[in-house]
Amino acid sequence: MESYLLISLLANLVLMVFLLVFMYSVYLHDKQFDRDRRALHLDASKSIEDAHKRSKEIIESAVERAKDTLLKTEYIREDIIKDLENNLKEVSEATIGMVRNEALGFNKEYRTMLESIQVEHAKMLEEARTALKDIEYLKKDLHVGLQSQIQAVLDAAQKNLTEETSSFDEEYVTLLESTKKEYLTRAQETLQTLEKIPEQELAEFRTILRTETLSAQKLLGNRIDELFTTAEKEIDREIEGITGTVVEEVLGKKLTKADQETLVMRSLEKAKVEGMFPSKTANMDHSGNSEQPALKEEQTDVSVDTSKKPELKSEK
Amino acid sequence: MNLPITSYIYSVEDKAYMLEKLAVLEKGIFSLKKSFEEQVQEYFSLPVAEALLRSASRAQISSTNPELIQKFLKDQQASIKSLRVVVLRVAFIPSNDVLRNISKWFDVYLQEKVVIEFVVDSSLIGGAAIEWNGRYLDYSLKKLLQEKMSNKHKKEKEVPVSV
Repeated sequence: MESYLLISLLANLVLMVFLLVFMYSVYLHDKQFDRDRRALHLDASKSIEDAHKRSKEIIESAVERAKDTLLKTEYIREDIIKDLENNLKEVSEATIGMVRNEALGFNKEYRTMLESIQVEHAKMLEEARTALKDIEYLKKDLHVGLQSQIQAVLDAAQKNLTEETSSFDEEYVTLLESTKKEYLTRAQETLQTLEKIPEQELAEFRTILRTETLSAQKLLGNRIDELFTTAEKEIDREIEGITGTVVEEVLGKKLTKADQETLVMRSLEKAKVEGMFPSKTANMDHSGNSEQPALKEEQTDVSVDTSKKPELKSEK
Repeated sequence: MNLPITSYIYSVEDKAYMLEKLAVLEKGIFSLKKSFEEQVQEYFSLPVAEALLRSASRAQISSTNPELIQKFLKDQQASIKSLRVVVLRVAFIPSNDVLRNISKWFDVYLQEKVVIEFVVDSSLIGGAAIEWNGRYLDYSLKKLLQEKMSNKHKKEKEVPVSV
């Protein structure tokens, strides 16, 4: 028993020791992990700081370089502009000079040309004047010559004409008279015949025209009447259809059952008046005594007139 | 009240219904299970049954004599069949009150029981077209409108046209 207890105590002790060792090892392991983590953290922060510094340096250097390049380009630009301005000035001066020289040369040439033209023009004017003088002399000579010649010819012609016309006139007069007579007789004859023919023909033509126009008018009138009546019928039919549908739509919906009933009763009364229900006891009431209206006074008014519509109760 | 069985007939439908019931009753009068009175009360409404039984007693028909009952029933059927029919074309579906009022009008005016046959035709707009004893008269608003229209056209045609 004692040995058993001892063994169990020993076993417990061994277990306890083993547990303590295990716990200690775990503790150590945790500590080591913390250290490693801190070291890692420190390294990372350092590397981040370094990277930050480097990036700052890079940016600063890049900015400085950019500034340098900007300054340089500014100088270059100014130089280029100056060069361009100088070149432009030179070119403009040279062109102005050229133009001036050419203009002067052209002016001289123009003047010489004008002078030569003026000289030639003066020469031509002198020649023209001399020519005109010659023509004037010629004209005077011709006028005198022609007048004398014409006078001579005229005298000769007059003599000839007076001789020939005296015989010709007589012949001509006789001829004219004979032809005149002929024409007159023919005209009279034709007039007479013409007067006779048109009167008959005109009368016939008038009658034919009258009958033709009358028949045409009649036909046209009939045709128009036919068209008019057919059109009128169609319009009537359409109007009836439209009014029918409108009235049907409006009245059919507006009339209440009571209105319908009164209308039916009126229809019956009307049928009674028109003798649709011939009855031997027509003038008797249901007790068979006296002559009394079958319905009330207001219902005996059988005229179903839409203009005098009864007070219809609307179903609202 | 000594009203005959026909006084409870207003429409063509009522007439057919009543004839059918009477035919059924006629077949059942030889049954030993139920008496004639019991069968009448079973097949008809109270006022109609009372009217039928009253007219049977007035005709001195013994409820124990089926032959007499059969004859009585045949007479009743014949009287119902003889009822004349008035056809009313109307534009609305009439209620029972309307039917009774119209029937009453015929009773009062004609002194004759008339069976009404309604034909609903909404195109009539209002009023009625009546068919009676081989005659047909249209007093509907539709007809009235048509007449008015045609009269108007005639009047327009009669007016001399000034050229």
